[in-house]
Amino acid sequence: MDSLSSLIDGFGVVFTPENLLFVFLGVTIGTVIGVLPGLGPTATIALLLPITYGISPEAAIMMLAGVYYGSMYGGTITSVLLRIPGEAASAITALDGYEMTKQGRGGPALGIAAIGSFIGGTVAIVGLAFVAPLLATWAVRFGPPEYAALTILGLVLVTYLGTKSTVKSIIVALFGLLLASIGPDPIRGTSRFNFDMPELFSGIDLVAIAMGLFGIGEIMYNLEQRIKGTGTIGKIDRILPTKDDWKQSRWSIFRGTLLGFPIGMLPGGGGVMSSLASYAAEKKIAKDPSRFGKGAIEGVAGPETANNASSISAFIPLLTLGLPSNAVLALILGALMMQDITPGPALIEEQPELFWGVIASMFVGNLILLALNLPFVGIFVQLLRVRIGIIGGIALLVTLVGVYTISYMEFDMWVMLAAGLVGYLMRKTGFEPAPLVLAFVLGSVLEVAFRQSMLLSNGDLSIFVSRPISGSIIAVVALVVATSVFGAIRRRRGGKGGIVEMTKQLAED
Amino acid sequence: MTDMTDDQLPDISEVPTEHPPTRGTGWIASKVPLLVMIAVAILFHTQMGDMEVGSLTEPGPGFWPRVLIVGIILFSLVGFVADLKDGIESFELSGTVRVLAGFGALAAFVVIFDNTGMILAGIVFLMLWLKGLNGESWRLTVILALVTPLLTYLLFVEALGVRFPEDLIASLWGGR
Repeated sequence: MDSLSSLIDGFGVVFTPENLLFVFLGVTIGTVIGVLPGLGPTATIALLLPITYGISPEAAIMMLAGVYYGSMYGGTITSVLLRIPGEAASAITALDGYEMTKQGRGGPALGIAAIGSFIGGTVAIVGLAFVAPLLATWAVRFGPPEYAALTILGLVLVTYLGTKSTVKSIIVALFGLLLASIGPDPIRGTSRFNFDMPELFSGIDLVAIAMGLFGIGEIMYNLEQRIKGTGTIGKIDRILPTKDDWKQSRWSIFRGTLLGFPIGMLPGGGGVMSSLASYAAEKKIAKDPSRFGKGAIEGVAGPETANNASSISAFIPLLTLGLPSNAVLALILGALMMQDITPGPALIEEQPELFWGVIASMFVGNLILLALNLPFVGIFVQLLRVRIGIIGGIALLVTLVGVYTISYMEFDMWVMLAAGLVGYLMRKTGFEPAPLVLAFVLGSVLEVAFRQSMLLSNGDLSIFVSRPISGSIIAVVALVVATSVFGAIRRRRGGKGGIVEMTKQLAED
Repeated sequence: MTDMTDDQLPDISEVPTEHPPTRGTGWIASKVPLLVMIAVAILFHTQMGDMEVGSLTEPGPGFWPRVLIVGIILFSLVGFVADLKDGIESFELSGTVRVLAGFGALAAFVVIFDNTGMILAGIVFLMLWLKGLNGESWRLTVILALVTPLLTYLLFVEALGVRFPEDLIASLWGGR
């Protein structure tokens, strides 16, 4: 009942004109960038970070969260109608969604995706409201070894689950940790790696790094690509699914919610992995798997539900442990830190307006999205008329100005340009920036937790395995590493894997 | 939900379509980033100077960076024997020149921003970006290059109270 009454208080926080406006802005921007190929939620949130500096923490996080789950809705539209995923989590939807469009059933595909997204999102919000306080109560007992183990688990899962090449991801994650060590030593305060530049005495700004790697890197990549036109947009007829459609997809929606919720909480999880896992699961348990890829509505309903559920549950580890589970959440953590708020087990007690306000805003945001997506799909599709070069130019201008406003230093602009060049080169050479940003954010948490653990144990590394919680987490790390190695061997020998392996294979394809 | 006829549907002739990236097959292209990473790790190592490393019992400020530097070098070396060609795209001259020119335009913005303020920097950048790099029409370029920096200025300086370097153009009407 405590959670319920706190949630009702949370609605009081949302229902102020300012906060409602930012929720609306967030979900609308999310839907728009979801529709537009070329700008994903990570890049957009990176670009919006400086703007959040000037508004209240509640409004800032409500808006950024809205961008995240809103993009899951928007990405579906172009996936289904054009076979162009607006953002990565909707890529798998294109397989059956576009086939449905070709069969004249694009409307019901979008309809079931919106309904599934709403159900998955709403169930995940309820889960978040009840699970997060429990986890926070439990997490109060966490000490440095537990935090170190959790952070390592996060980095291991990100390098294994969410990326193509494990070796490349490990290298960039280590590089991210090294970049995080620039600036004052977190325990003794002595300056490290300042390269004789006073601007580096306080370290590198996350916003400059994230905006460069994701925002500028992505826009430059789009600039390089020749824009060619092929394909035709599908016709949209009636949008509400038929009774048969609903019968076929209701269990997929149920399973999508059940899969998406825990995957979102996993470090390295999030929208992409949950939608891929749901698709793999639906295909695996289908009576006739050959229907998949030819317009099976379950192939739309399951993944779309899962990616929305996971985008909500991903807030649980962030708000209760202060650990972001993917790059988007790492940026939202950055936004909180810019507001001098460090999320952790005490957040619910110390900042109840923020915690419960954000959860309540998700209910409101999901309702707005359902209202926006069902009747206005046609309007959102019109956005595809705007050329990405124009959006890119304006976004770059605002980004450069925005990063300057954080510390009023021209140096940050140069850091962002350098990070943009690195981001572009990483994209061209098959390195993913997400592990770098996540490692950069977690770097100081991990270093402090590790060094404190060593001081506690007198240099005995067994402290990480001898304590029950950290020991269990390290066991999971070992299991993930072992699965990764055996899975790679199995696939090299041409064997078929389970759902996890199928998911990873889908991600690689 | 509205029914849409073919005439009402947006023109998607310029929507970027998914086209598989050109796969480079070069061994060298997959290994150069590893050499860069090793060089970066060595650069950081040279900057450790008198940073105290300490021991496991009492790790100093240099302990953690040392672990990371060693880790980067080790995994980069592993990368030399692993197949890392997946995901590598070829660098084509015209595309690479466009990207370098794009970074040049951004660098020009930063330099002009520091010397003459935001508005002129924005105008120059958007002219270069929209006309030079994206081939937009003169009409659209001029409109966007004038309106966007002005709106950005009004939003940041007038509405949010942000201080930019002294603005040459804003000073014409008494702005800062």
